[in-house]
Amino acid sequence: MRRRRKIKFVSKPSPAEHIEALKKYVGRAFNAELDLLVEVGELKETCFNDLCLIFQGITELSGAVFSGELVGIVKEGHVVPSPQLYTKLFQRFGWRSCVVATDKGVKAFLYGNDLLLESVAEIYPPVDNYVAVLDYYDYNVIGVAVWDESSKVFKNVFDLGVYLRKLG
Amino acid sequence: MRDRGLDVADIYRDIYIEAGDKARRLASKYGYLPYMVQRYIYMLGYDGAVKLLEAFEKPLNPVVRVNTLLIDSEKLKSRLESLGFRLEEIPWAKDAFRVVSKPEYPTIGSTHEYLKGYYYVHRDASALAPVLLLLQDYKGDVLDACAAPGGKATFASQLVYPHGIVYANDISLPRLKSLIGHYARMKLSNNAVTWADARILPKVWTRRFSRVILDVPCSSEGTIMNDPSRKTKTALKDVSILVKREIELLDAGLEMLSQGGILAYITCSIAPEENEYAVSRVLESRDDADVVEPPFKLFDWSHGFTSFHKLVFDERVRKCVRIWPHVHGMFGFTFCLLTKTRS
Repeated sequence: MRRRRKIKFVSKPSPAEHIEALKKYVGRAFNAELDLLVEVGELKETCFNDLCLIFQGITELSGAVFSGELVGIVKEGHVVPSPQLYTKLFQRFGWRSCVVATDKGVKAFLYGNDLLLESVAEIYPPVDNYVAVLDYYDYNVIGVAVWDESSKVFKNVFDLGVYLRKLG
Repeated sequence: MRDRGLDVADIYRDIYIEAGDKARRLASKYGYLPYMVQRYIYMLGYDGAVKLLEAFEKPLNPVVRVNTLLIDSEKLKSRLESLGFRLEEIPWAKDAFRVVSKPEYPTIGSTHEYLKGYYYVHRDASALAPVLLLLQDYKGDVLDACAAPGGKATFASQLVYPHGIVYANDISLPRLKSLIGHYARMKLSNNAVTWADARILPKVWTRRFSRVILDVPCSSEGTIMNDPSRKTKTALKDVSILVKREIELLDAGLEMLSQGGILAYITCSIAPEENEYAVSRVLESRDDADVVEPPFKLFDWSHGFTSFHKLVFDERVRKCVRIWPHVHGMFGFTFCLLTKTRS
């Protein structure tokens, strides 16, 4: 018999430390203000189990649990920009803080694996913090990773497959 | 909202049906509850019922709807074909393709293109029809009152982008999780996802909408080809309970509609009880609602029934649309477009 698993659900204004973490990252990696791209005061957060989505709320209607654009993701303690926010940052400030994955790398990464250095086609610094992982085929953001010096891999923090695996 | 004092026992009395010998024999042969087959005979005649039962034996392949805000249809088609999928155009639905054949790997719901949000996978094309008819040339906000898992809501978001926002509501949290996942995956920002029983929305929201999608939770009797468990899942007593909820939801949906607005009442069911009966019950209790003809013809669909067995329905439900598996090669599907004549 299949047991129904209870969903841990929280919906609230985004905590100050999460907004601060995003601001700090955007400032360091892109030398930019997060406020230029999103209404920081309107950021909200909805969590399903261990995955939290930071979004720019566009409705005050009762019962709202998500709205507008996905701005950031909180997963296992990491607070990272969403693919949508990275896309905006690249459009405005050019390629920075990202790595381009080869076909083989994309395949592995989208299924939750880390990105090996041999599967990286291009690197755009700085890479000392989170980096966006781009698909070589179309330069679309497929996730976020962080360089791990000890294992010499870009560790998977978030990839698009998470929507299926965690929300699906 | 009308306080109609709906009683499941009354509904059950109204819709009660006794299966005859022919129906019982067919039910036994195809593995159905006898009352269901008796219904098919009443609606389609014996030969028609057999054709329907045969159609229900053949599963349908899924349909891919392209997220044209991210990728061009032809480009996606060629990318999926390069992976080994064979796609066939849906003649009446631009940017949608039926998956005719597939490779061993990957599945249509796990390709990189899917993860990147380039398309949504519908179980069938039928669900596209009411959304296309409701939102043709419309550019405002939309309420999808029972929205999860999100096929119609994300489609509506594409159609009204960038002018309108789709308010996608659902009562089920696990299903809302999927809905949000689809919005995030497909990068559709014109959304507001809410968690509520649609029946209470008129009480807790003051705003009203010019377009409402109301795809009510139903028996899913039209999807038996892909879910054979439906052949025996819903006893007539359970149908009565569903019908009660469907009537309440339609009533609430009409309350959420502004004057002159249009609501699409949708079920993936061919049961007249869940469609013409439910709509007629609502029409008879309100003097501010009317059924409207679809604004144009997507394909040669069938009309709603004005009577069934011992029941005589409101004449206006003839304007409802019926899609039959054995005639149209899709899920059994019924929808009615209703308008609010007064606020």
